[in-house]
Amino acid sequence: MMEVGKLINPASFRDPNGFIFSHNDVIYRQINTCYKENYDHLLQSGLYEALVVQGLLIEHEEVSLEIALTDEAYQVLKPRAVPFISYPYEWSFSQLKDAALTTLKIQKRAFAHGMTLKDASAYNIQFLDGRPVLIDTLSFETYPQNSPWVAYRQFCQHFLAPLALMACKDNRLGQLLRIYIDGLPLDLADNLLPLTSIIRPYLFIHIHLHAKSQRHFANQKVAGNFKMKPASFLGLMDSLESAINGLKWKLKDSEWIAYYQADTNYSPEGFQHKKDLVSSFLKQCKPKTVWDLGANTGEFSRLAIQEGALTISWDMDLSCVETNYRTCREKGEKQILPLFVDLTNPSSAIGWAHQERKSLIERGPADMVLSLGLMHHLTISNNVPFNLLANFFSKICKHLLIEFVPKSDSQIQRLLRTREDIFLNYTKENFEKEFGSYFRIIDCAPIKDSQRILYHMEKRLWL
Amino acid sequence: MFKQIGIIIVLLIGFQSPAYAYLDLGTGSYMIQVIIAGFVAFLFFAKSFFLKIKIYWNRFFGKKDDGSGKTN
Repeated sequence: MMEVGKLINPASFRDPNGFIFSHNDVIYRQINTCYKENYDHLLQSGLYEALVVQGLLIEHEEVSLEIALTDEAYQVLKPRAVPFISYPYEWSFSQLKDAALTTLKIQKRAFAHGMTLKDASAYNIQFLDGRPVLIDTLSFETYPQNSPWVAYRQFCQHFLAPLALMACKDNRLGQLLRIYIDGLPLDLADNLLPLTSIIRPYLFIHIHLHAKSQRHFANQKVAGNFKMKPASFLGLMDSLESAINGLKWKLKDSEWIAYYQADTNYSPEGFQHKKDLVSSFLKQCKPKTVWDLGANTGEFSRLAIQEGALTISWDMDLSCVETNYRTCREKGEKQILPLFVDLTNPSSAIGWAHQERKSLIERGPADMVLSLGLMHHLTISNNVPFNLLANFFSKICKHLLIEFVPKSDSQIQRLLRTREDIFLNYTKENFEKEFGSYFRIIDCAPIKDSQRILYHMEKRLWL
Repeated sequence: MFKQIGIIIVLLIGFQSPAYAYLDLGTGSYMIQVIIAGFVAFLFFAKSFFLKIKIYWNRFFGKKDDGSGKTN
């Protein structure tokens, strides 16, 4: 009988060995008795410690069994909290690639300790302190001698196939992971990849031949006890690693990647003034979490981390997200997580009963949202009226730092160059009135050498 | 070895049916690992062998390891 106040995570239902639940806003993992031997092996073999020391596996502490939800409990773990859960369809190429290499590194360590990963889901990896970490402690099982890798198919579907499509065809194809929650079907990847991909031996084996093998054996009874020697198992891991390492995404010039260098209408003084204003508003508000919407390569997100905020740096341009992530990696920035989002169609709740993967709104609210140089793209390019925009922002933040761009601004004139101006309500007065229904305006300041105004707003208490 | 090459040829030229919901994709993923087992083991040994030679060569001629060699 489940106790009141304890909630099983709706995404945690597939594994009979245990599940995630929350109690008083703290996340716990129950391990069932049927997983006892594997869990003991994980700890006693030294694998858990080795992985935690290397930052590959999330650390946990064992807590009292009294908190367990069911009688099947063997242990209850309190894992380190992951402040923000992101999904593979929100990652850039290098984020997915690093997650894949982390999975293989863990699998090789596990093999050396007589264990193996029983699943290789990209959703089991999360970014913590800027690095990919395995969060599913139940993923390990004792390796049955001379067996093939049970999670091989999942690894190819979740990592290799989307990465290959992004590298060899088009980086936007990573978005197929939004449709295929258990990774890309290999027959689809086989069809979509260009013919030239077959000359890459590892892609030929792990995707093209693999897909054909799935089709060939799909309705056949296979007799016999097939073995795989340790050398072959290590060879398989090595070939997957080579396949992943061989995939490179050449950063393409995008409309947005050089935005700050060439495409803004700020003078250097105006841009510096905007940064100073943002910093001063951040200092006043002291947010713990910031969502920087339309973050580009993270120029303003870095102001937020200077004030100690964990900052999710969202953008709809994959080249910007990729550049931002590479910068984070090079500088060792732990407080920024660059992610992809198209605000006109943000990540929705998907999976079983719409509850496995949360929507953008469900993962909020952030203490503060930065909407800098963004509003006009949503209102003018996507026809979103002020009241709908204010309503959306009120659902995802407590404080809002928003830049109002008047219609006379050269960037808006550019947007209106090829279309009829139907935005008669797009005025400063109307903006303040509509946003005033959801937010209290705390402060506002014009940005030097521009017609733009920066507003600091606080969500109204009754909302 | 010849048997495995034969299976690969069958896979490549064989009749391609679409993957239906009731078909079991797991068996094919299991079998492909068995089929390519010898090949990936050979590549792994060959890579390890050449890596050792490279390390030995660099040591012998006093070159610093450029860090590009992947070790396991």
